[in-house]
Amino acid sequence: MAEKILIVDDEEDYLNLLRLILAPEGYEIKTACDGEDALRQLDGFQPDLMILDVNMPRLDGHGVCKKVRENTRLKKLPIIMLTVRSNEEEEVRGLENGSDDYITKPFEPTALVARVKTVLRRAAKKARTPQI
Amino acid sequence: MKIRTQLGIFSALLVLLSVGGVASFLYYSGKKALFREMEAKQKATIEQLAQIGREALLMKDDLLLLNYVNLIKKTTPAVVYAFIESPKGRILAHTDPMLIDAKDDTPAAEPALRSEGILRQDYIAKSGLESPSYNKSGLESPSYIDFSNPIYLGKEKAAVARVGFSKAELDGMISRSLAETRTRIMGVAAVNLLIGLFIALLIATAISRPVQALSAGASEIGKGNFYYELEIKSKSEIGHLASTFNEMARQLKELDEMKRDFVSSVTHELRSPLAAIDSYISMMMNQMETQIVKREIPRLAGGRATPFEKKGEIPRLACGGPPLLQKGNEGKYPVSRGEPPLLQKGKGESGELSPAKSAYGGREIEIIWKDNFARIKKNTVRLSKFIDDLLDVSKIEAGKLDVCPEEIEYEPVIRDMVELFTPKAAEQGIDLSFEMEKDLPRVLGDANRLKQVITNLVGNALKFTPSGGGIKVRAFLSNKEGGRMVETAVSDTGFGIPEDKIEKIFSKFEQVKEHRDKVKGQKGTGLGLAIAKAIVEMHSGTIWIKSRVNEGTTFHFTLPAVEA
Repeated sequence: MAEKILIVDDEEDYLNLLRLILAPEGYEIKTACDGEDALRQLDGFQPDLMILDVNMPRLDGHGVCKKVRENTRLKKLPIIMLTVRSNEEEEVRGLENGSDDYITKPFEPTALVARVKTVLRRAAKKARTPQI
Repeated sequence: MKIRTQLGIFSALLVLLSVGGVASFLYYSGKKALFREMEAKQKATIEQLAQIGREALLMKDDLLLLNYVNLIKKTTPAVVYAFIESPKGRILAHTDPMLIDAKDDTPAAEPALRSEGILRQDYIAKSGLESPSYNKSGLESPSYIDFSNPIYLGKEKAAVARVGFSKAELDGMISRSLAETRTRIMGVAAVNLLIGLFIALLIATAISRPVQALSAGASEIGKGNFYYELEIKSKSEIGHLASTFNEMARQLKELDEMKRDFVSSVTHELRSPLAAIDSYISMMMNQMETQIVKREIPRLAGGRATPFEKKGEIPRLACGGPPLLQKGNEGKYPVSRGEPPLLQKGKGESGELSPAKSAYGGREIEIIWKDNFARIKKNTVRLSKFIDDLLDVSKIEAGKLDVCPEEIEYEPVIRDMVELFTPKAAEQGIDLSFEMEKDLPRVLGDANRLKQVITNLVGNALKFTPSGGGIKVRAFLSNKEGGRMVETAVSDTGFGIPEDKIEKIFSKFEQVKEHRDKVKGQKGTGLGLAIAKAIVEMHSGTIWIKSRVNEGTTFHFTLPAVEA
């Protein structure tokens, strides 16, 4: 079964780009155009991974991340944050809010795919190991 | 000369002039009054003598006359002689008793006897005959001032009263009196002068202080400190100037903030679309690679050599491997990333795409596209770099550049960066070498920011070093005033920087123009060194240059070493 990825970005260009890169890898892609939209979609949908842009109107990536972590069902959803620039402050904030990884724009498609694979693999491994 | 000194000298001169003027006016008017007073006294003396003489003649009291004549001489020191003589010149009474009854033979006798009222005449004694007492001083014939006043009994001129004053004595009295006046005036003037000079100094200071404050403020603003505010609360023109100045500073500050906001928001806005373009291009390049690989692998596996293979180009292109395999390489050398594979083609092989080879038509267009993509990519990367630099600069200006120094091993940082540039240096025919002192202590630094500094310095050196030159990167321990430091030196054999430009080389957008023109291809942004300087200084290090035109330049910077 194809793994499902929810991509959240307010810029349509990035949604399209990420879809173009990830779809050929065999993932099932869903998109959301801002933080609130993402939360709405997550209500009836359990993706295997969420790629989350930080800078968005209304509810930004950090806000979404926090909300998701507060939800028991989605608590363990792997999240990759997408930031415009490698910025240590942002990075720390993202990781503090519970994201699993971050990618800076612009990114190399190959690097993105590799990160996605790594995060998914790690999540799968965690799921198999029973929690002590 | 300082304004305060100028004003001080000017007002001191003014004070001096006015005090001098007043003093000399007082002196001369004092002198005049003295002369008038003296003459009045002399007249009073002769009038009194005439009065007494008349009474004595009326009463025929010779003794009274003699006593009075002597009294005059006693009470008035300047009087040399006083006598009464008959209209015929016979002396009736005289201060010198020897001359009583003698004939008056002074040069003044004739006019005095003829005169109808008080007569004043100056004369010089002919000889000692006039009076024995004349010759007291001896050598010079004394000169006299002679006053005469006729005495009338009824309508008849009965006698003439005469008093002689010694001119020398009078002059002495006058000069003594004048000297006294002078001393008095001088004292007052001196006090006035002191007070005046003190006030002049106060005025000079009061006027020049705000001017100095203004000047200090202007130079502060010149240095870029727009937060400087003058505190001059005067209502004079200077106060007005100060408030205008503050207003100007405020506007400059606003402009500066506006510029900063503008740069920061524009660069932020530019970043996102640029990143999108960049990522799209990367994706398309990858897609194309994948396509070619898919198509070419079966073909190559079939053992059929293509004309591209002979040229050694297609294997690079087609067998570059799946995108994932290339990733390591690209990540490691971002500078060479996206170098178009057909770059060499431009060097005289442009005729390659001849119709004769168009049997591979579709593939050749792929090659051209790939080249084009690579060029777009290269320019996007360059633009991104510029925007990153601009953002860094705006952060530095706002004091928001995040530098988090921690104890780090310095060698990997510097070695990584040198290795990063090795291929590019080789490509340009420049020898890039690296030397590191053994057992260098750890440094207090932010690895990412230090990489940025080294990238900027080495990149800069590469840009300004002609082919065949060399760049040497050295790191060693040095003892500076601030304690043990790890010093890094990046030396090149480039054009060098003229002495007058060295000071400005760390300013924003500053590039040595002549050199900029010599650089082929990609020009720098002129921001790299400004950023490097800010980063080094945020590490409590220093950065400096030594350069000789046409010999080369060495950039040095220090980082605090961690004590073991």
